[in-house]
Amino acid sequence: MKEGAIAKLAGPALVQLLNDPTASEFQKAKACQRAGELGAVEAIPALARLLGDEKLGSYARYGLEPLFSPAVDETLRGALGKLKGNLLIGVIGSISKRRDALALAPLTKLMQDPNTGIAEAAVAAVGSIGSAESARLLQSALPKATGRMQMQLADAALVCAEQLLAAGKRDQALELYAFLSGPKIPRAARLGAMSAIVREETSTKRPRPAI
Amino acid sequence: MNWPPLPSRDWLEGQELPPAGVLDWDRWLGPAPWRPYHPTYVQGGWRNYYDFHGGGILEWGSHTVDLCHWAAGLDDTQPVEYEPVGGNTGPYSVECRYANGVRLVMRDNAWDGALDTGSCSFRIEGDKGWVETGDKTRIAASESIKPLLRPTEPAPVALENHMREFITCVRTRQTPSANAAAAANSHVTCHAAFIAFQRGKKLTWSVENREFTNDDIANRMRSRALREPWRI
Repeated sequence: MKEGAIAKLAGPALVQLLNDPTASEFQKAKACQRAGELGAVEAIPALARLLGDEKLGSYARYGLEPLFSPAVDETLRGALGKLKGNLLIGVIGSISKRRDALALAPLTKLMQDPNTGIAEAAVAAVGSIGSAESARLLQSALPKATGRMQMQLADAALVCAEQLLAAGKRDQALELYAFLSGPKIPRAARLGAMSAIVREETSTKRPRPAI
Repeated sequence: MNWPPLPSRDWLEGQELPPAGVLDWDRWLGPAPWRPYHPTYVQGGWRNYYDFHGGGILEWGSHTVDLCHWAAGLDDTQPVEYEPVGGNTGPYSVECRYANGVRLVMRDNAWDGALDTGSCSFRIEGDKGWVETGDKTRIAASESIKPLLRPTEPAPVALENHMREFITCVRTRQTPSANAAAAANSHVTCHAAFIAFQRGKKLTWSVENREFTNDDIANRMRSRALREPWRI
C-alpha cells in the first residue's frame, strides 16, 4: 500500500478522499496525516467523523491536533460526550496537548469517571491546561483522593504549576507548590514541590522587588 | 546499515495475526498509529517506516549529536538553522548552525565511519585541526593534533566508565555527562534536522520557543497524536 499521490493532495481533494465511502483504511489514514501536516482546516468535519473509528480514530486526531483553529477544540470538546473507552481517552489526550481551557468543565466531570483510565487522563489534561482554574480544581480534589488517584492528582498539579510558571504567573505557581508541600501530599510529589520552591526562590533570574 | 533519511510512509499488506499468546499486536504497536499486521515489522523490519523510525538522521544522530554538544560545550541548547543537502538516495547531510556560529554537520558516514573509527563516529574540527572517533574508541586525527593525543581506553572499559559515572552521580547527587537535559537537546536537534529534510528546505529554529520561525508545516510536524490509550 503506497502513499504515492496522497502526499501531494491539497485540502479539497483530501476532504473528498476522507468522505469517500469506497476509500480504503490506508488511503484515509494517509489523508488524515496529510491534512494535519498541510494545515487543511477544511478537513475538520471529515476528520471529526473518523474520531469514533477504532482503527482510524488516532489518525483523525493526528490530523486535528496540529491545526491552528478553534474549530478543532470545539470538535474535540464535542466528542467528549459521544465517545467511550480508549477512544475517549485519546480525545482527552488531544485536548490535553492543545491545552483547551474551555474543556475544563467536561474534564472535571470525567475526573469522576468509574473507568480509571478515563479519570486519570482527565486529571492529567486538567493539569496540562495549566490555568488558575486548573490549579483550583486539582487542589480541591486532592484532599478527598486516595491511593493511585491521589498521586495522579498531585502529578497533574505539579505539571499545572510548571505551566503557570512558564506563563509568567509565578505567584500562582508558588502558591500551588506550597500547597503540594503539605504533609498529606504523596511523598514523591511533595519532594518535587519543595525542590521547585527551592529552585525558584534561589534562582538568579527570579523577579526582584525594586529597592 | 545506512538508513535513508526519509523513511517510508507506506504499509505492508496485512497478514493474518499470530495467536494472542504469540504476539500482542496492539501492545507491539504501542502509541504508534494502527496498521495491519505484517511479520516483517516484528522480525526487525520495523526500521525505515515513518510511524516507527526516524530514518538515518534519527538512527545515528541519537547516538552522536550529544557527543558533539558535549565537545562544543553546547549541552544546553540546539542549532538555530537546519539546511538539508542531498536526497533520499546517495550521500546526504543536514548542515546545522548554532547561535554562537558553531556548525554541526550531520552526514551519512558509512557504518564504521569513513576512517574505520567504528559506528556512531563523530569528528570535531577546530582552528588547528580535527579529531575523530567512534564506537571502536580508535582515534583518528590531523597531524597537528596527533602529538596532543593520549592513549585511549578499549570500548568495554569506556562503557564501564560511563555506567560507573552514572551510578556515582546517583549516589552523590551530581549531574552525569549523559544527563536528561543533554539527551533532550540532542534529540530535539535530530528531530528538527529530520523535519528539515522532510520539508526539503532550510529551516530556522527558536531555541527559546522550540518552534520553527519560517515554516508552519514544519511546526505542525513537531508532534504526532498518540494512539489511544497511550498518553504523556
